[in-house]
Amino acid sequence: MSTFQFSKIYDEHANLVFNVCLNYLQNNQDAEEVTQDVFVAVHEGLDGFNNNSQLKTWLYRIAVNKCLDFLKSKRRKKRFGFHLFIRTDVEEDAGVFSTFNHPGAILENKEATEQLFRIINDLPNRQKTALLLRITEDLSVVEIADVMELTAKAVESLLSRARGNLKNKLNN
Amino acid sequence: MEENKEIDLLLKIERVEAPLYLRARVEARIANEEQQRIPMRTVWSIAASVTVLLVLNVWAVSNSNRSNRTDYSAETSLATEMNISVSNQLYHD
Repeated sequence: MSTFQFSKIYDEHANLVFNVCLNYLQNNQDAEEVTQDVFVAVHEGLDGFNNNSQLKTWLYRIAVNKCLDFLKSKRRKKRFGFHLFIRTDVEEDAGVFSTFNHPGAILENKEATEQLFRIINDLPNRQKTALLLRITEDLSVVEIADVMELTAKAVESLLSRARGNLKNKLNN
Repeated sequence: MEENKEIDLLLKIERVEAPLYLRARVEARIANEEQQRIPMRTVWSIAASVTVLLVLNVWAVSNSNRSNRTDYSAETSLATEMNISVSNQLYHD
């Protein structure tokens, strides 16, 4: 793959990937790290990229998967360290997400946004992904279905469950 | 509605530009990974060498098994004639 082709993709989509990572991880440094991972994966996979699927869809898919991998690896590290000292079967997700540091959150809403993201982070991964792609990326249900490799109906169901869960947690 | 009001906060999140230095970091990581990557030619030549070595080993083992003699009757009869024990047991009657 030519350097020119990769540079073009980077120039056109770096902000998109960075914002997806930022909304998923809510930490500037983590988002930077994962954005790098995404573009390294893009560089490796571009030769085999199937032009039938849209480049944007492919990038969204890689970005979401890399964010999930990043959180999984943090969770694994944390669990290993935790088990070294205290043996317990309790699954704790607290602390997997780094300190809230989202440069896109408006200062006056920062606390409320942080609170909302904390609740969103408690949602199952697929519900969280569907919700974030729908609201922050403004993707249609069909586009989300392409990214998540699901049917449109399945995405609609995920979105409705996500909103329901969100509503319940906000009321508690 | 409370839920919608809260979700609206997500809509208020501003788009952020990726830092300029990120590009240099991505390029450096790609260059680094390309340097560390073993060329496919090397991988294939190692795989071919290992295969050849395995085939030669199998061939050598099966060939040596075939050429191993199992008929020791001539030696046994000579030993018997010379009153030599043919048993490998050290302590026997």
